[in-house]
Amino acid sequence: MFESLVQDNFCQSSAQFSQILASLTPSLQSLMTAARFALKNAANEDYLFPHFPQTNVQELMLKYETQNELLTAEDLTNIENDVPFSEQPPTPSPQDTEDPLISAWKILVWKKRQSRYERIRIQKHSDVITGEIQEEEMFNLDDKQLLSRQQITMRMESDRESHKRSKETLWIVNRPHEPNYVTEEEFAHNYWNKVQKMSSEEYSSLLDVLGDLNKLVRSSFKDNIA
Amino acid sequence: MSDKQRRTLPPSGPRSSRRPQGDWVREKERDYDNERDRDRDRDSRDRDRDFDREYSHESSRDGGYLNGSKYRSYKSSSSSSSSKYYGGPGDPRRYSERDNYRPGRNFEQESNGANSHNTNIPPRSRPLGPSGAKRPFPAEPRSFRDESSRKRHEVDDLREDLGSKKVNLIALPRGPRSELTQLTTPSGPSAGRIKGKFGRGGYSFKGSERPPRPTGPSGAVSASRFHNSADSSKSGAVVPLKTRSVAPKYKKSQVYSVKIERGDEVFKRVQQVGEGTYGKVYKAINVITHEHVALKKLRLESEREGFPITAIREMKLLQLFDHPNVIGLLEMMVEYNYIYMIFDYMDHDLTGLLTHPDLHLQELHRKHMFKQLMEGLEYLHKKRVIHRDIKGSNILLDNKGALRIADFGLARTMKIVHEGESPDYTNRVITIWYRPPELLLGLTDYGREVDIWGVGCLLIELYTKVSPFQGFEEIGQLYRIFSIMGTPTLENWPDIDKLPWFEMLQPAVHKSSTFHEKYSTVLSEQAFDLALKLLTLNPSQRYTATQALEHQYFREDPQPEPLTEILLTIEGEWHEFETKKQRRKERKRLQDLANTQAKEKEGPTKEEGTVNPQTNEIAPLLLPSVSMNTSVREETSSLGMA
Repeated sequence: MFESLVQDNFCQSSAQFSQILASLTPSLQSLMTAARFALKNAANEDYLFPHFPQTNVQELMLKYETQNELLTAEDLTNIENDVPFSEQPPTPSPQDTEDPLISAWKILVWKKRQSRYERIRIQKHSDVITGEIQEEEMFNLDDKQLLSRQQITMRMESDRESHKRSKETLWIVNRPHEPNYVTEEEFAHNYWNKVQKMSSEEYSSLLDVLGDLNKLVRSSFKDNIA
Repeated sequence: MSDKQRRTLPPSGPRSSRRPQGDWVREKERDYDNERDRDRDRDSRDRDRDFDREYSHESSRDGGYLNGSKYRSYKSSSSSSSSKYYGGPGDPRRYSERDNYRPGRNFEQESNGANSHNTNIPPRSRPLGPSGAKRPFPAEPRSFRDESSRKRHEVDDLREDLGSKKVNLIALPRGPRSELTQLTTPSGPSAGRIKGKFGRGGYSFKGSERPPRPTGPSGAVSASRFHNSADSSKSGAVVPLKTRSVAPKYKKSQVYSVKIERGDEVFKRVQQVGEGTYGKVYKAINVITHEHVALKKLRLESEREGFPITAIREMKLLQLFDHPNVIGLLEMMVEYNYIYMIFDYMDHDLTGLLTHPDLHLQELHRKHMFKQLMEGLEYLHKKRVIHRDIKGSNILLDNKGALRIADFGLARTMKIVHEGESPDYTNRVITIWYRPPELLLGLTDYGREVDIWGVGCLLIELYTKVSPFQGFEEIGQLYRIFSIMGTPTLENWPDIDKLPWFEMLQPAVHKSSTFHEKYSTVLSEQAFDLALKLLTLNPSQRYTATQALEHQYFREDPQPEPLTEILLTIEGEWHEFETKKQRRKERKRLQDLANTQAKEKEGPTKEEGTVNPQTNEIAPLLLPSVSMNTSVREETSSLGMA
């Protein structure tokens, strides 16, 4: 009985969530509604928060960050021989059971590898241009496969905008509903432990700033004898 | 502006200020007559209600961030007055404490005096605007009546109180507030300052009742204003009340700010000298000291979310600075709902000055200017401040050749970051010509290096008079930088691919630097070397301000010298704003000329060369035949037209 109830609940919220997702519009309100629903029913919906094989993702992320391990020995040989990068991007097939997150990271790593490969190859083998060169030629703006000038500008702008938005909620702290006051533990977790000890350099610079400010204020007081 | 006109200013500053002057004055006079008629019909309740609304309106706007003496006095005096009557908050405690424990003050005596004199008499008029301007009564929202009715009982009580003093409230004059508030008498130590006379450390007076002249932080300006305000009271149409209390004697040292209630403007605008997103900058003259100042009028009408945080940040930072090469904030002023920042007036800005056709700078002059710039920047950087808008028009110069860095609207203090954290600032900073490549590639974890790139550009500009990289948008700007400095290599900028937008803007070619051939002959040897170090593509290898000041450029002869003589011979003032205006005018004249010529030739085709009406471009064919001044030629060449 209990199991069937849980099952019902699961199906219900799952169906509801599918409906929300189907009618999702790019408006912020719609996205917020969907996110709120997902968080509220997180316990019922295992598929929403799958357990990724963390190690795989971390490995890929590390690979993305570290430049030295990105290129294989074969790549280096190909660069020496001035062979253009030819490897196709990893495309996950519909039957593939691999987690989409891992597939996404694999594509990113491939892209980074290609970029680095071409950068080194151009520097090693292409002629150094000393004269005038057009903008389109420098950034390959005429290549239809790559982003156009307008697209690049738009992406820059939207990146800035999302960066700005991401900072709008920085001050938000997740507080427990009870108790109504800030407990010592909560204070320590949210505030106290977030402030780290200053290094001696930082400390002296802080003192300098404070000292200057003190001097400034002192000199502005008229009954200052000094 | 006469007192009469001033008191009848229309309620909304911004809207009214756009009207033509003639109509405005006529309308003001009409308003004044209307108001006078209205006044006869109004009873004290209306007056009281309007006061309450206006006060709440003002106090909700102020935010309490400003430190200008004028503003502070206004705010404190109005808040202290309301606190007695409406139970609102009084002055912050700390101010009272500070003043009470001043040496030599007879605390006890004043306390007793307070008890004997204190009455519960509220202000009998609406508060004045910060500048002393009295606004007419705006239309009353219906919802407000309920709120004000609560206070009517209190007004009735008050009328009874005043009745014993034989003061007819209804017939009270409706002049400047200080006249009316003379009803109040000094109370205890902290309340020893009479409302309207003494704000939070503030002071004002009328007529013959003149306290000792203050001296101090606001110096001669305040003292002179103080002195002059007696004249303004004469012009007021208000008859002061006979009942007047004796103001307590204050020592000079006890007066920290002066409340000024003048009928006339202290700063008389001369002309506009700048404009930006923040608002406008005017050159103004202090009518008392006859000193020139710059008024930066903050644009508030377009602000939907209250007082702009950038302005607060700017004020906060400006208060920290005390350096000969960094602009100093003289005071803040609130007038007709506008907020002004008042700075020392500087005659020129670098961009404006460099467009002067007869300016021939020598190495020692350039060195002097650049040294001052670097010293100012070093000071800011030591204070952990990044300017983030270094450009020619923000570098100001006076007639003696003193240079100051100005405009801290985009500046910020650096965060203290620990391992694993990132500063994460916005990269939408710095005017595009002076923006370094790392910001163009989307970096958000930057530091002081971004300012160094800008001064590197300015160093070249001092020699060539034009900015080295003049792009229209991000991609174009990056192209211009890479064209001259060369595309980044694995050696000089290995980790460029970590920048957020590098994938989108990765150079597809290997372009060598043309910096040497372009500038080595124009710049002196050491200047060229310094410029190269300041304009290093990789921000981690770029020189710091301190390193730059230690460079051989400043050590070798000729030693830096101010360009006082040259500047004194230059006629007029050269700011980017005016020179741009001049250029626009000149361009329009050229265009008109071109159009006339085109018509005379019976409409030649575009290929034959005249003006493209869509882009307003003057085609090259026409240029040589038209006499152009230097600045126009520079403008057209910088726009790639010539």
